[in-house]
Amino acid sequence: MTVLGVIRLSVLTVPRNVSLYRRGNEEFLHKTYSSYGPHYVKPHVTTEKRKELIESGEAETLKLIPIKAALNYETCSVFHDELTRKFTNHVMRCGKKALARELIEKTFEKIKRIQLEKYHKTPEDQKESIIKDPVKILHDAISNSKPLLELTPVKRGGVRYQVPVPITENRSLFLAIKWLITSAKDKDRKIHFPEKLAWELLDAAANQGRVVKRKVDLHRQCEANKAFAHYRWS
Amino acid sequence: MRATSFLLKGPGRAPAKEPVPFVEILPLRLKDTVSGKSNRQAENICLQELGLLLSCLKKHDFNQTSCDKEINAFKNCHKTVMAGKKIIYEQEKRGELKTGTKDLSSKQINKILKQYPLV
Repeated sequence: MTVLGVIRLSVLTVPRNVSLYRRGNEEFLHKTYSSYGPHYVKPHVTTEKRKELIESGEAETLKLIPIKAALNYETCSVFHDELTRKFTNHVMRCGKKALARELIEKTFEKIKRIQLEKYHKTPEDQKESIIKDPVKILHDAISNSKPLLELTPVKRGGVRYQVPVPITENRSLFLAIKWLITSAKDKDRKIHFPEKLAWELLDAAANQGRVVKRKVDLHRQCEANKAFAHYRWS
Repeated sequence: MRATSFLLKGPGRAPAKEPVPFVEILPLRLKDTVSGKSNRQAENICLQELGLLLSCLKKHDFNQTSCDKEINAFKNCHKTVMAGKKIIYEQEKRGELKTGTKDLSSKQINKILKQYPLV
């Protein structure tokens, strides 16, 4: 986005990628370098969202508004899971998406096998408690690994204090995914990544294992540095 | 004793003559700007929630399931603070000034002072 200058709107007929904004008493023109004009809205891809829109009557107004095309990963497939897509992208190295997807698929297969084995071994009355859906396991693992706080160094009087600060939902999700992947990468040479990742995910889903321990350790450190919490000013 | 007699001999430092001339070292008027430094201290927010959360976690041996109430309170506090900050940031970016607001940020005060300079 760049500012074209202090041209009065009345002088020009405005093209679709140019919008007007005010700063003080002056009008500016904003040019966007998107192929869509500012009046375009984002598409709603999932079936549930579309049903919701139709029920609430919002769909009627959307009929008259131009809508952007969906991005290539956005799909209405019932097999699509947003968190799995995110996780796959974090597993990916050097843009090798096909490989990353393959690794995740293998991980899911491994989880499924382990859980099915467990399912058949447990007595009849406890079978309900075993989760067999790998996607559900992934969701549980990530939500159990998400930290609440983080330590950040703040320099006061020449001393660097570790200050506990709250983190955003996005950062927390990023840390959980990063920790799961790094702990899965730290393995014996003969064990394959999908296998190790499957174990890590199952451990984290059961609220135990290395990643959950790492999160708890971070919380412990935050608790130890509680006294410095008022040093934060950002 | 020796020093006193010696010092009392001469005229010493000449006293300043009345009226003492006034020298204006800095201009005698307020600036048309304020510094935004004092805002930093005021932003220690969610401290109480943080304290409650950490003490609850410690009490339950860092088991999050027993501290749901504290966790939600802390998250909500952070969320509302961030949302408020975002609104202020966007208002400042657009150069908007709400009429009748008492709590002005340093940027907003600077903006007004620039529009209506003191001298």
